[in-house]
Amino acid sequence: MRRREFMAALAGVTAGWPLRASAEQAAVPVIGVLLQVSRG
Amino acid sequence: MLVAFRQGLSEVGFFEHQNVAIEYRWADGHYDRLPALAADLVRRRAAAILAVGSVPSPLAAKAATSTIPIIFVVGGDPIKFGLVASLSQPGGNVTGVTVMSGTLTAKRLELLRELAPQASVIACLVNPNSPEAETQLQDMRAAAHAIGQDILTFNAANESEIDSAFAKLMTERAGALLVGNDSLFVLRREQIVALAARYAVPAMFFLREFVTAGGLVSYGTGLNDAYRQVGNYVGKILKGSKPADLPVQQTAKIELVVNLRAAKALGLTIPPTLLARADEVIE
Repeated sequence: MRRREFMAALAGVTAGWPLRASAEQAAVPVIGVLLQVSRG
Repeated sequence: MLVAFRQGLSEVGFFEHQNVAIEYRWADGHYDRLPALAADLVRRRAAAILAVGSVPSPLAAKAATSTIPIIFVVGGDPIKFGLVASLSQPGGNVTGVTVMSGTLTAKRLELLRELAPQASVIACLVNPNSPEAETQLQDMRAAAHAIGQDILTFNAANESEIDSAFAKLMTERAGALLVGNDSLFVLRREQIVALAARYAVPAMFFLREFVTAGGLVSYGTGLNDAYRQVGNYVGKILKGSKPADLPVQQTAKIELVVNLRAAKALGLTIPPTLLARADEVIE
């Protein structure tokens, strides 16, 4: 594999990491609960 | 109550720590902290916001976002306070459950008078910082006028003002106390119950939690049902339902809870007719 192709492939893989991580986070929705009282 | 919320969520297939995360923001009774806490939940990109306590909480959430679904539990009228356009068709990004606690004021006053017929003056405790304060006062005055009962109102917006309100109501010789619907009072319920016992004032509350903490009597909606219902709603919204299409629900279950131990300590005899109507009697 030429160096330029290798670098392009590597960039594609690393660029995918944060996307995959955020996709996993998005799979678990977050519910925010706003309360006037205290946890006690 | 949050247990009931999580139960409601689980009924529609969502379980905390499994397929849904829940982030809590507590205002500790300080209404002025709500806008920043709501803004923080928006920054965290919450899929939905459950805003509970009373009207200020969903109002803060609504001011923070017009896109994230907001689901509320409130004791007041959600139309009057601008949360929704109508109960059947809320519109916008807000819906929830109302327990319409304010509409029960007249009944609470009537029951309190049955319990403390010697009280020529009944004190009413209100948090002046609540947007619902004026409505509550109007309800209390109308209810008192209808039965010819003299009332005096006392304001309390924090712990020390609750102490001083009790001292004042004793100097004014109030013979009984009607506690207004406010989350600060829920937060400070043990203080209020202890003061009512110390000053030997028969007190009527709006939630059973006061009575299980030692208070005399409550007449109001069971909040667990409301929290289970909003759990259902949040789950439906996570599955794709739009808040605008989910009508605001009104809880119908109203319960009278009496604490006989508190009555005995106050030297009160609960009329048998009232006991017979109680949904729960704490011995």
